[in-house]
Amino acid sequence: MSSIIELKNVSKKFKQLSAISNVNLSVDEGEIIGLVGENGAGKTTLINLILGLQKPDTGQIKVFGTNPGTTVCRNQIGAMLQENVSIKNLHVDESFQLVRSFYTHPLSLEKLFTITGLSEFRHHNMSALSGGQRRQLAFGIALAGNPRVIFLDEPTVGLDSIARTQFWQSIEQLRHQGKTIFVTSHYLEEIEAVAERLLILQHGKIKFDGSLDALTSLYSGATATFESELAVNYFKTSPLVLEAKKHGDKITLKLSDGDLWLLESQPFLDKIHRLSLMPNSLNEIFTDVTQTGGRNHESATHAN
Amino acid sequence: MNQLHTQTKYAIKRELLRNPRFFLFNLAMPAFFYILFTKILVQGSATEKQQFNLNYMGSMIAYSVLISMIFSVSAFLAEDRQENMPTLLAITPAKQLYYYVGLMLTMTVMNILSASVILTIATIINGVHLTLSSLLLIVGLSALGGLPLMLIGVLVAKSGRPSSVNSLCNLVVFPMAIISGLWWPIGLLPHWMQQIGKLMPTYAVNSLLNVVTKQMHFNWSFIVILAGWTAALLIIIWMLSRVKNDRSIQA
Repeated sequence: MSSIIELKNVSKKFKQLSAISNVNLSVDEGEIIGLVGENGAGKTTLINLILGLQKPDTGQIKVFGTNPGTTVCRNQIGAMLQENVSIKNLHVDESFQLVRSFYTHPLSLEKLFTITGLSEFRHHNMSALSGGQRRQLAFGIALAGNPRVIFLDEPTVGLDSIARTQFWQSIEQLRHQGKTIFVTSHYLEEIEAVAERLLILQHGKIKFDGSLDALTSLYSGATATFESELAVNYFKTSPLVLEAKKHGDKITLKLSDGDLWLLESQPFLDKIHRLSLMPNSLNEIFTDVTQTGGRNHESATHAN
Repeated sequence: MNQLHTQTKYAIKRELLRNPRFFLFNLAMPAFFYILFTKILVQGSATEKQQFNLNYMGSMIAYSVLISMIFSVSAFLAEDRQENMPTLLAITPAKQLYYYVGLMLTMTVMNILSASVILTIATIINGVHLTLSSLLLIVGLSALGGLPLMLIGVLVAKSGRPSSVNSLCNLVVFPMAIISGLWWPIGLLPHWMQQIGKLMPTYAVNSLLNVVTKQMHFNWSFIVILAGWTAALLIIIWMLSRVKNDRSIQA
């Protein structure tokens, strides 16, 4: 595979605040990348740098082998940024037509309406659209040029559950077409469903860069829930137990490694009933990585 | 060219065909003022009235160009900026030049329409007689004279949000209209104010219109004033654009 986006030692500061710090990144064509991080982690700055909306203070960025923001790049990139674009006094179909006219090989108008589901609003003024419809319109605008790389910054904010499902179905179709997609979202379960590669940003640095499987194996935490005649304090003695609570008959343990704990528990497994062992969700892993730096896990390492 | 055609087509739809402000402020208001001052408030002999009808026609054409260019251009750009149009242009292969050229062509159409309305009223209601070549020259001059005023509109649009842009427009347009003698004869103003007023692009436009309508002596200084304003404003806008080029939007 060939890298279509390359960042080498890229840093960007806003006054004294370091928004992006010494980031190295290489993206191959066809990858679906989930970009996650808390507010202010640097996600939008990273996207803006790749789009050429901002210039790095240090380091080098290459997109399709050229500098970001060139016409060659922009012809092959579509972006749906956090803030919607609205063109006053234009109808939805006219907005698509206008943006299509910017590109060399745009998608057809009908295809855009099929993807966005805005067909029935084609003659509506943009200002008459709801927040969710404006988001769908922004998605259509991002796809209007039939781009090879698509940036989606918080794409599902404001979408209802049906529209959100349709949106992710569209992303699946784009994946099958071999598009490269960067997506940021606060809904980590959505990222989990679609992204093959995850970038976790914290304070402008990449804390993790790898597949979801790699992440879950690194951060193999789990939650065990069971009933037991043993006292809750008995379980606290294990170094694998991060937190132990008892609610009524139920004991809940937060574990740094569920599999290891299960092995360790063999001698007293007969005193544990109705055991449920759930691996940590992406949300919990994300919290662990960003808030504790993965210190809950001895095995915690990160790629960058 | 396809992109320029599309940008211009939609700019005309947005700014002329679907914009009630255009009909109200750019067409109706100057026409109303022209009728008010020439049919109701005017005094004097028939010859004096006829002369005033001709003078005031030029002033109102220049005034309509002034408000079209400054109010409309700045509102258009400020609203587009608020709705993230510059970002759209920056992330797509859109040619920004076409966006501005499309707007300029739209404003030229707007000026031609505004001038045509005043000319029509002057001809039909006030019996002003002008040859076809004079009419065409007036329309052409109003379009040409709008260029530096449009650039002032661009500059005003860079100053802030649509609400503050509107206030700034009022601060620019009305003093400029008064000082360049569009509302009252410039001779009524104090001498020092006249000196400033005669450097205004609106005074130059009005004077060029007078050259056509009243066969006044053509003076190259009018062209120099318009060209000077255009060049100076282009340089200022270019410098401001360079400063703001690396828009720093914090994540």
